[in-house]
Amino acid sequence: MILLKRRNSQKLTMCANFIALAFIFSYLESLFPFSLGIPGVKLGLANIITVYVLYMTKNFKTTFIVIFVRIFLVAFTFGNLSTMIYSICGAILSGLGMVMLYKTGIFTIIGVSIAGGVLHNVGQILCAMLILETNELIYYLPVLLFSGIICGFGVGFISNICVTNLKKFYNSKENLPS
Amino acid sequence: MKYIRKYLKMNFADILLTLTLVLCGFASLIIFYKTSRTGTSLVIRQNGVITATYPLNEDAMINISDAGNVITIKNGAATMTEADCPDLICVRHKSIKRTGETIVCLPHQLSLSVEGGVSVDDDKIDAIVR
Repeated sequence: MILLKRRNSQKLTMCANFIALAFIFSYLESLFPFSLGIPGVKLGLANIITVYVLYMTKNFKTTFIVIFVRIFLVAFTFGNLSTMIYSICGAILSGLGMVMLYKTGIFTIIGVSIAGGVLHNVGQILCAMLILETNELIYYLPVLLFSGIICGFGVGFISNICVTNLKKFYNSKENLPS
Repeated sequence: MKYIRKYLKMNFADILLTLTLVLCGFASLIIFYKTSRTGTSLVIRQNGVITATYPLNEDAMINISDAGNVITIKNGAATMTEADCPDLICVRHKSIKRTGETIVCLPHQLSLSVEGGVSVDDDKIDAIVR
């Protein structure tokens, strides 16, 4: 019983840590607007945390909790609510895609994060097409595909470093959070 | 360098996925470029409903009062010159003049798109007939 309680509180703390980190990364991204004049092109720094959580905890529920709480917090503090729906659509699609690719087990962390970056953009554009009823938005697709690949690659590289080294650390201490 | 390369390892499936996505990007780019033409009119939509249409061959300043956006048409191209949204992505967007090109202001649910026009092939036929 004591063990169970300890594990639960450990989970909660880890989750809170991840959300705080993702929140900070989103804030950093809003501080340096990396914009090419095309809506939807972002670095996706917060995705580092998503990929990291997915690979460290191997728990899909935790991953989705981190994604959703981060989006709500960001939208309520320094985003605007009207664009929150686009973030949610992109995040759901990229989250589902990453989990599915992760489950197949044939992709490395970089492949998974590239797919996540691209799917996030595709989800956002599909959502915008539905809400604005403007089919011409599909013309943004090539740009968003390329930016998703490049940013996803960078995100995958950084999360690969984190996962590889922190896994070593946790394994040596035998307290890998799950 | 060796240290970095260790973390950049991708397997066959990753490379296949990336190549497929890149190919999709190039294919759609080519398709969109082939099908786009120089447009003749600017269509303004608010909340998905067409509210106004302007010809692109006349210079104009369009003020959308309830959204706080100002659109300028000059030399057959349209730009968003003013907006009161926080991110100003629509203002930084380059001018649009080919069919299908769109400027979107997400906070105001406003979209400008270029429509209608003579296709490149039609131009050629005209030239030959002339």
